[in-house]
Amino acid sequence: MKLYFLIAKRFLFPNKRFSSSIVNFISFIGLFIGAAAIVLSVSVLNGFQDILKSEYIKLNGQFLIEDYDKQLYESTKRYLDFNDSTYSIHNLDELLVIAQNKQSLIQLKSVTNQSLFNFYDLNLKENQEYLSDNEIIIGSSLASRLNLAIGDNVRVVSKDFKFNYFGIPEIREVVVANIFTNRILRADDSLVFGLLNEPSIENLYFEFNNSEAIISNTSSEILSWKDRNLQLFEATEIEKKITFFTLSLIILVASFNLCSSIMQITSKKLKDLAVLMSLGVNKSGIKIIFIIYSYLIGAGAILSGIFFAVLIIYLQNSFSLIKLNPEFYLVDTLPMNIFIGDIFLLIVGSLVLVGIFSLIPLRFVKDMSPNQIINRQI
Amino acid sequence: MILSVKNLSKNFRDGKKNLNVLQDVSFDVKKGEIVTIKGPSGSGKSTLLSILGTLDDADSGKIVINSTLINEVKDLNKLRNLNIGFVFQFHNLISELTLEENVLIPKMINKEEIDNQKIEELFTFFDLQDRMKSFPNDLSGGEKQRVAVMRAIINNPSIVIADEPTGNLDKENVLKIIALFKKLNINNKLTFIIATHDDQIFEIGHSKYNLESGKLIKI
Ligand SMILES: Nc1ncnc2c1ncn2[C@@H]1O[C@H](COP(=O)(O)OP(=O)(O)OP(=O)(O)O)[C@@H](O)[C@H]1O
Ligand SMILES: [Mg+2]
Repeated sequence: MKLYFLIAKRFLFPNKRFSSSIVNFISFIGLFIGAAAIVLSVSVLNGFQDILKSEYIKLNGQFLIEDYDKQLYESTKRYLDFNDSTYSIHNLDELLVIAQNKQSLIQLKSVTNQSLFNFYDLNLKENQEYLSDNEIIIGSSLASRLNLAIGDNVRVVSKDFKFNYFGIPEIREVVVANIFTNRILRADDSLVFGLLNEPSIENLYFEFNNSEAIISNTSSEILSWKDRNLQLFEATEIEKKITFFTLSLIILVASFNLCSSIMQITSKKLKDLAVLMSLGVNKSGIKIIFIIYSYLIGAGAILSGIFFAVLIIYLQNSFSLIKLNPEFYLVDTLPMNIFIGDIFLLIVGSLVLVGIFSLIPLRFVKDMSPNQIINRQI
Repeated sequence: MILSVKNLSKNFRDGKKNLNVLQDVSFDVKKGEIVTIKGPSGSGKSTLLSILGTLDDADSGKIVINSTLINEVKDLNKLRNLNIGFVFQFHNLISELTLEENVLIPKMINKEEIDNQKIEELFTFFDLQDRMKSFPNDLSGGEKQRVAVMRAIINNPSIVIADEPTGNLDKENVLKIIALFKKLNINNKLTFIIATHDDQIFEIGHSKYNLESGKLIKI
């Protein structure tokens, strides 16, 4: 093995100088760029996915139970504590907001004060610790669309027009107590927070991050943030796969290059190979030399490409080198995050590819006859 | 007997013609013997040496090297590595490796421990002690051929097979190689089989053969 390694190394870098052939250089660059490009693009997609998750959880928690059959409420009401801030019990209603002459359909999430300020993370415009009965908190997009500021009055009407005893729809007058900002899914355009007085058994929801009491007491389906954004989540997952696949083509082309590089070197070194065989190297030994040769290029290029990309990711996360305009991108700096699993898949996949393409040109070794080569030389 | 050859035959098909290169060749070589073979160009000297060196197969016949019948050996590479040293007309050194590395190839194939002291002594014996770290291209033709001889004998083989070892050298270097072979033969008890056109080297044979029309005849 030591001999094979030595010969492969010297064939690659003749006479200890870095004067390898241009074909080798091109395959190195190709594999380097391919690996770096995959890691960087996947890390950006991961980064946006992370932001999607963290922003979504701020308004919705990690998990949700829709208590359609009231089973959860019935079974847990003995010890459910509405003042507990580790979960949120709330009603959700569709309502119409009317402000001056503009109106908009919204979703009203009625929650307790404890949940509002401790469970959710609203990024409020003004500091606040208490919401009263006739107050609501609206999102910043809705505020600017309806031209509303903190302290303005609006009227809310039930969308399905619950009529009161007098035959007119219930209209409530409320005050905009605060404005929240959230960067995803136009949440701050449609979501409105209000106070929960008495939970109505209809439209009851539980949102929580990690609440043992709820998980152990329900047979209802628990929806994670992924389940609740399935289409978006799957879209980004598919995007990641397509990116991975498309950029793998760079690695594939670079492997072709490696293939021709090996053809070139083997035909140039045919006599040396025959001599090695006359000295006792067997045919698999000859193959191993060139497999080592291509892995010196291939693994070197792929690992340094990954290292380069991880370095960029580290620098970006520490110093925010690449800035974004938050008006268009939700974030002010390019988010990047890479997982060990992605890197592992990349390393294994590309090294298998390199292996296959270095074996293809080595088929000639099978019927190589050293004495023919040695006796026929000029 | 270190080598015993019985009824060796080899044919080549050249288009429709059948070339009987070797017909019923038999001979024995004792340990420590120098055997020289001459014959016209194309008579089959290289073919015979390739077969003896297990680089080529005979059509029929038996070869016993060091009491092993090579027709039955599975791992010929190993046998070649340990029992046979080759010197060719051209030095055939690997130009990317230093002289020391070139010489050590047979030992590395065999994964042997390398004794640096012995290697230095060997280079001194060949008068190349200052060139161990040089590359083949920095050497003269004669020096390169001496390194090739070193590589052939490093594993202390049963037989050194030399095919026109001086075919590419000037007079002075031919003499040096002849002296070297004799010295190695006497000091190390090495056995040589040499094919040559050169009369001077032909004369060092304890047994001399002429190969003509497929027959090997002792002179
Ligand atoms: N693979 C082959 N196919 C067909 N003919 C071959 C093959 N190898 C050798 N020959 C023929 O066999 C004959 C013997 O060749 P060989 O090389 O052994 O001769 P030689 O005695 O070494 O000659 P020289 O002194 O010129 O080196 C030649 O006629 C050659 O053309
Ligand atoms: Mg010949």
